[in-house]
Amino acid sequence: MENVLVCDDDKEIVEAIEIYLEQEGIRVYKAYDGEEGLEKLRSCKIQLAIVDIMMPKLDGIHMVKELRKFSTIPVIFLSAKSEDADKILGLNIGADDYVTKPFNPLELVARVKSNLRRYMALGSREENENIYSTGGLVIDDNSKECFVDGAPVRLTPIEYSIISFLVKNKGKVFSINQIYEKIWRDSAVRVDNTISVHIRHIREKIEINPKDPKYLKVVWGVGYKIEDI
Amino acid sequence: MKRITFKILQHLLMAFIAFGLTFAFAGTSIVISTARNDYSYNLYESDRNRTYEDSYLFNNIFGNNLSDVFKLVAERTQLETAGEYDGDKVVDVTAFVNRGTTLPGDYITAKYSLSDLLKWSQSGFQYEKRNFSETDTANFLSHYTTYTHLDNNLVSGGMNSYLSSQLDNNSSTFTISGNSSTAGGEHTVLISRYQTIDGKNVEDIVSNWEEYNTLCSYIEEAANTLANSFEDYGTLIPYYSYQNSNLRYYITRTINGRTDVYTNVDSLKGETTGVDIKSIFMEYGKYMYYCPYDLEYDTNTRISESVVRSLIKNYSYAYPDQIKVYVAVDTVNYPCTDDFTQGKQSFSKYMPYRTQLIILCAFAGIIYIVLMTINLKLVNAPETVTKKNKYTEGIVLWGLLIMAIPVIVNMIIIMLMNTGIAKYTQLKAFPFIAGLSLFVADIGFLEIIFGLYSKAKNKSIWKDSFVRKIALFSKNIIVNTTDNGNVIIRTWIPYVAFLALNILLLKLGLSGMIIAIFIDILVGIYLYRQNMDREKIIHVIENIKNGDVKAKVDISELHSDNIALADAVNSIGEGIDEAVNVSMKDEKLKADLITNVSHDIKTPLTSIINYVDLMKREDIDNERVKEYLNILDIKSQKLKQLTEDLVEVSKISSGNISITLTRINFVELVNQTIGEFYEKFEKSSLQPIFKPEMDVMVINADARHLWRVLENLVNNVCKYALSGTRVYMDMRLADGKDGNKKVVFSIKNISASELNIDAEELTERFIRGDQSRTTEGSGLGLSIAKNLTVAQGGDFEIKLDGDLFKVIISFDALERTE
Repeated sequence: MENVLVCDDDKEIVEAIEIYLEQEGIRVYKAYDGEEGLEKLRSCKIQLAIVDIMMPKLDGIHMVKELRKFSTIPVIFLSAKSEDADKILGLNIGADDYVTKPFNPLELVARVKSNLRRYMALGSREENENIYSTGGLVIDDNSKECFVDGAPVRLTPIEYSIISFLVKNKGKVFSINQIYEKIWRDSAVRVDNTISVHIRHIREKIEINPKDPKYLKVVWGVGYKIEDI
Repeated sequence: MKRITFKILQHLLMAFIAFGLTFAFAGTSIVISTARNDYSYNLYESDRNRTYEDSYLFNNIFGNNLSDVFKLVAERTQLETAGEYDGDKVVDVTAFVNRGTTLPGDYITAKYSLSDLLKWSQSGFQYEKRNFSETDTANFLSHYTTYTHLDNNLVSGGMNSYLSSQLDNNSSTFTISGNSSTAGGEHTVLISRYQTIDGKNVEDIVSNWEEYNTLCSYIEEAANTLANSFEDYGTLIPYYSYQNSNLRYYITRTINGRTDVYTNVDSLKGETTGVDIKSIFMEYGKYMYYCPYDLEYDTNTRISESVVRSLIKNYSYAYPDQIKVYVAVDTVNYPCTDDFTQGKQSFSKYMPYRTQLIILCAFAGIIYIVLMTINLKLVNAPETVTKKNKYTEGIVLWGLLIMAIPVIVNMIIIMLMNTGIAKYTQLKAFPFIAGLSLFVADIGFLEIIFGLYSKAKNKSIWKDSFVRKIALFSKNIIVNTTDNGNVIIRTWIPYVAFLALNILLLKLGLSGMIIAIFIDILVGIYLYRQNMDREKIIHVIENIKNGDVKAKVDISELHSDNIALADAVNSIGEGIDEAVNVSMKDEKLKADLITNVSHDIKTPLTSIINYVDLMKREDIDNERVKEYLNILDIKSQKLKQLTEDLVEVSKISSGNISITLTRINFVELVNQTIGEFYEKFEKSSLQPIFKPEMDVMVINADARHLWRVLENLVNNVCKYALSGTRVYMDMRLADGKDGNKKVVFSIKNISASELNIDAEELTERFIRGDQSRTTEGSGLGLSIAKNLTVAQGGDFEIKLDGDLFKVIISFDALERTE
């Protein structure tokens, strides 16, 4: 049974998150400020922390900095600050995810579970010739299977060939035309939105929040790529 | 106190300088009274190392005396016989009057005794007008003309008829019958006061009127000339007497073997045979000996032979070549007081001290300047700034008045003493007078200097001047009459005046024309300057118009009323600048406020959304409660969207977003967007149709912001388009207004509800196609899309045609380079 710390000065939010997580069989430790949160992290065996940024006594940023001195557990920031700058700051100081308020409870739960899975599976994954991965996304070319944080994802053959092509060339941007030519092995006569519809379907399957994708990213006006994590 | 002491010291110094200089220079220009004239002589610097007798001063005095002596001797030849005045001396009037020329062998003359002529001249010549008939004439005039004949009429060796006429027994007379052309009428007749030595009257000698008139005029001229000479003679004889003068002269003249001696040395008047006159004269000291006949000239003075010759030439009628001139000054004894001793006195008095005096004066001058400098420095002291309110001209006038006092006083003294200025300056007391005068004048001078200096210190020479006051006054009058008048008066009156002035000046001729050209050039410069100023102001106005509200006119370069204009322009610019700044600040404040408020809204909103969701998960039988929960869910989601959009709008409009322009393929972007919205289109039963002109159309834009624009537009379409219709998207190249190629994207759909609204209003905040605001969305979508497009440098346009809703976005096209 996983232990998760929820640290927020808004008691109602903490309790709501507790309800969602307990439904998933996760035990929740509650803290209402940064110092209390650190204390809980030190004293209890906790696998993941959900931390608010704006908190009394010790804010989330300083709390995570302190936490990183003794622990590598995944941290999800939960904040009303939705600016890009805030997100970048949060991720840079060592958080694994950033969820803005007001959040979708299901999304938060999915992120918690995904991060837990990845944390638990860390180091246990076997390296194989035909296995390609980026972050928690794994493509097994032997069995033509796709896993996200260890959980298998069901993809159509075309979807699989698109994702495996992109994962094999992770970090590179391909335009719709280039992807089309690779997959169908045919020159693109008339460019339409077929590929982008497929991409969207893939994203809905592998991403927790398709509008804010972690792996399969849209480079607007240029093409698509798999993020090299 | 210090300053007053300094001032008095300065006055004293000035007085000393004046005294010293006048003393020194009065000495250099001395006036010496001689027999007939006051002569002024200069002391020469080169005489400084010479003795008096060797100096130019002495020689100049000697030269003047020489001239007098020659004159005296010439007069003596006319008036004396054997060295004494001879009243019975016979004067041949025609020969006398024509003494400078040669007479014909036979001539008409009358001989009078010298004293008769002198007396006649004294009492005056009287004439009478009488009417003569021919008979009267015949009776009045002689029937014969008496001619005189000079037996010996030599003209060689400087001799002339006059000299010949003075010889004894040298003339004879004869008569020739005449009176042939006797004429009647009115004639002037000389009243014969004296007769000739033969007891004749003029009319007894001549036989016609012409001869009569000529002879009468000769008699009168001779008499008057002799009378003048006699007067002169009376002065010179005692002046150059042996007892009164240090000058010695001895002049002999030989005419036709007869030798006359003229001298003031009594011991040489008698027989001088065997006496070496020259050595006697040499013993006197300075001497001069001249004998033109023997071509001899000897002197130990600085007088050259040519000077002597030219002096004698003035009286050549009296001096034939056979003369001997001995002149000397008794410089050994100086037995008498005369102009030579006067000169000697001045020479020894001034000559040695002259240079020292001048040096002393120069030194005093330097001290004067030093004192003045120190005193001027003291003007700086605050307690001395007192004469602030005096007019500049007043100070100058007051100083000049003081300076005029000594001038006026001296002029009055000169008038009262009835002497010339030159004589006045020779007075012994003159240096003292000059010193006193300059003492007073210096008070006035310093008054001006210090007054002006303190004004200059305060930079108020012009400010306090009366001229300025008048200028300001007249300027005010002109400005008041022109400024308040209308434009016609202000422009035409000066113009007409200018033309009239030009025409008037041209009438004056050349000088007027030159003045006119000068004035025209001035007016030209004035107009040019005025236009230059206007140009500068207009330039700045142009800049402000184009958005550079910080543009300013440099007032220091402008003139007259343009300064006021520039000031106005500057303050308008400042006002706009301030308004822009204030509005920018306000916008920023508003954005910050909205961001902060939205943060505060988000936290409770999180709880609302979460708990609504939790409640929905509970088993609720009551359908109404389920319906209510649904409404709560939708509205809370809407609130969430609204707060996010609000933050975005405020960020865009306050310019708080960063824009990174990159090359992107607009076609790809649209395809990607359609892919993203594929399900949404299907859900709304809409069919998207995108037909780009080319596969690749490159523009410069911020990809994420442009995606946001398209997202908003497509979202809009999905929300408001009539379901079951097609959504047409189109992309093509077009020529822009500025000549650049443009990539133009348009998206159009049929609105589900009636579009009863202005296209412009759709992009205004919180305006939506349906004013009821019941459907989802914040109403900020179009506003965000438009602002983001503009922020990237694109154009955003909405067109409404019935139910057709069309949005056109255009960007500058880039060349396709891959």
